[in-house]
Amino acid sequence: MNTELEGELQRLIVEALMLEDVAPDGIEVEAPLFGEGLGLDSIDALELAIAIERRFGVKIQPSEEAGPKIFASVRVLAQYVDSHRAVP
Amino acid sequence: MLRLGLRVFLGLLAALRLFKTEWRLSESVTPTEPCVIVCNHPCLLDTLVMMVRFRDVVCLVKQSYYDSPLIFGLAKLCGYIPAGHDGSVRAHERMLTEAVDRLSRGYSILAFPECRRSTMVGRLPFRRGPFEIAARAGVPVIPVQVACTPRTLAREIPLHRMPLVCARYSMRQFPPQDVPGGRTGTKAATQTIQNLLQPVTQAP
Repeated sequence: MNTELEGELQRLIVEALMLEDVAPDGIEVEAPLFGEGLGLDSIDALELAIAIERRFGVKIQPSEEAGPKIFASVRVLAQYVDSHRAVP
Repeated sequence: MLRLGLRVFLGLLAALRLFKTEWRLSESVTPTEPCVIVCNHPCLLDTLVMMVRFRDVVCLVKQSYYDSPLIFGLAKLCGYIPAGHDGSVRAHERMLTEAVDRLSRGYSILAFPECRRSTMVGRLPFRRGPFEIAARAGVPVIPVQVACTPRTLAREIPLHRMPLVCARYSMRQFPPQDVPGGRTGTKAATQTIQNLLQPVTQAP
């Protein structure tokens, strides 16, 4: 479990989506990002995917079914980014 | 050619006293500038009626309709844009890019932000996509409230259960509204226009 990466993703979510009323620490790492969780929508997912690509060089090119799963929570997203980013 | 075919089809329904619009089918409207037309969606025929009503519009359609062989690939032939509801992030990106491109070429976009037919009771949340398109392209949104009385070909009504009286179709077009950019701006516009178009609950 990469808590540093999770923290970075929490900050990225707030910055990229300009969430004015949410603090990075306030995003639960296992809470759903969409719907009843953080309340993000599909346009937010697109913005977030672009931000992740710029920050980590990880291009989220999911199969049609994988998209919602990758964005299930900060923890799941961190695992995806960790497993796909280039090793320095 | 397509619009002529749709007009003939709707004219046939009117002649059979099944479905009638409150305006002559030959009266079409051309938006004065590219815009995003957003409507509530009470009836299965909404898309056809709107395509006859407005000239030079391109419709956002569900991916399943876009790919469906049942409508003979018409959506593809007409240059409609798949709305990317397959859960893929890239599908949404394609939708936004294609829609902004069409607007830059002078077409208008027709969208049903509920992404499915309106329910008989309550309302479905509007999606933000059409408003994001308008903000990115710098074009206004024109809200159009449509009503079908009695409700016909609604989501909860089987196709074969047509009403015994002729269904009357009316629409109310609101003035163009600018959509501010950014997440907050598009979310606010989505909510404002949903409140404007909230359909009146009608008995089945």
